[in-house]
Amino acid sequence: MQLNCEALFDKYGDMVFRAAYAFVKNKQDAEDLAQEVFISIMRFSPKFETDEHCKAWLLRATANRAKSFFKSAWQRKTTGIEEDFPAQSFSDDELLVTNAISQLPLKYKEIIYLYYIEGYDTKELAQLLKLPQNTVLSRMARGRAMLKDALKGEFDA
Amino acid sequence: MKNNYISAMNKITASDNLREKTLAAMKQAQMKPAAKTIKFNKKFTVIAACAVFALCIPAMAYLLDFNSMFGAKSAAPQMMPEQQNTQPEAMINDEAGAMPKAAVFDAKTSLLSEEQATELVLEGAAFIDGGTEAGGYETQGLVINSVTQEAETNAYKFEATDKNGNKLILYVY
Repeated sequence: MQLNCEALFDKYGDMVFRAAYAFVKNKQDAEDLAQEVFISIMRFSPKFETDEHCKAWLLRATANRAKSFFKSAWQRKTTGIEEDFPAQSFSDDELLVTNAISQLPLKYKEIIYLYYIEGYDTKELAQLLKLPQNTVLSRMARGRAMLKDALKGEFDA
Repeated sequence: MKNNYISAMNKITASDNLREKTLAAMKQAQMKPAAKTIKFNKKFTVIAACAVFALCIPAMAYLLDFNSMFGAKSAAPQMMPEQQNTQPEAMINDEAGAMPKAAVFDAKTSLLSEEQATELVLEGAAFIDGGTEAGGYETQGLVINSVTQEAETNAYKFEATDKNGNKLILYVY
């Protein structure tokens, strides 16, 4: 599968940006991450057999970049400007849920994002993130429990 | 809750200039592809290190001459206990005219067999006390006729015949 810059970005640009935004919760950082992911795909030009393979590669690269971002010395030593989601376009419920998810640690956040937004099942997530399926399941359960705690009383089960 | 999250995430959009910036960076990256890096996994590295180490041992042994250090004992011919007892400590026969050095045998040793005596002579361990021929002598072709031990000196007396038919008497002290 030949990589074409424009086609690639038009097809997956929004997806990568949203994933990055869900992970780092900051528009500027998310744009930087998305840009890095697209640069890396052009530099390493991996061979993809299907579109799904390409999509999975981009999501995994985004998750890895987000991990590196949180591990970086600069990120650990500085406090970023807290940025809330654009409240004007979100309903109260949407804002509540999105903020609660964004407060989760990355390892839970990425599973929840990929499961609910990208529609991967746990088996596919295990392959995508190179984790045992049981780990994915337990992270999912813990992430949900943490969300339930955070949103206690706000939503009915 | 799930629907709220999905609808909220769908509302998130990037800056207008992200596309242009990213495409420019992608094109630049395409012009300069990353150099392929060789990645070693741990398993392969450990196996390779063990293989190299295993190959190095004989090479080091050869270079440091371990063979001669440790192999000297094993390289020596294995001798029967009886033969070991009969091995002389010193039995050097110098050039003609030199005083023969004594070859000492274990007192417990009985008379040497003819084969053992022949072996000793052929190896140059015995020397000749044949009057005019004191000192070195051609040992090849000697035939031992008899071996006796002298009571006074404990020396072994070999009666031999050389290849020319001359009768010789050999003493091994």
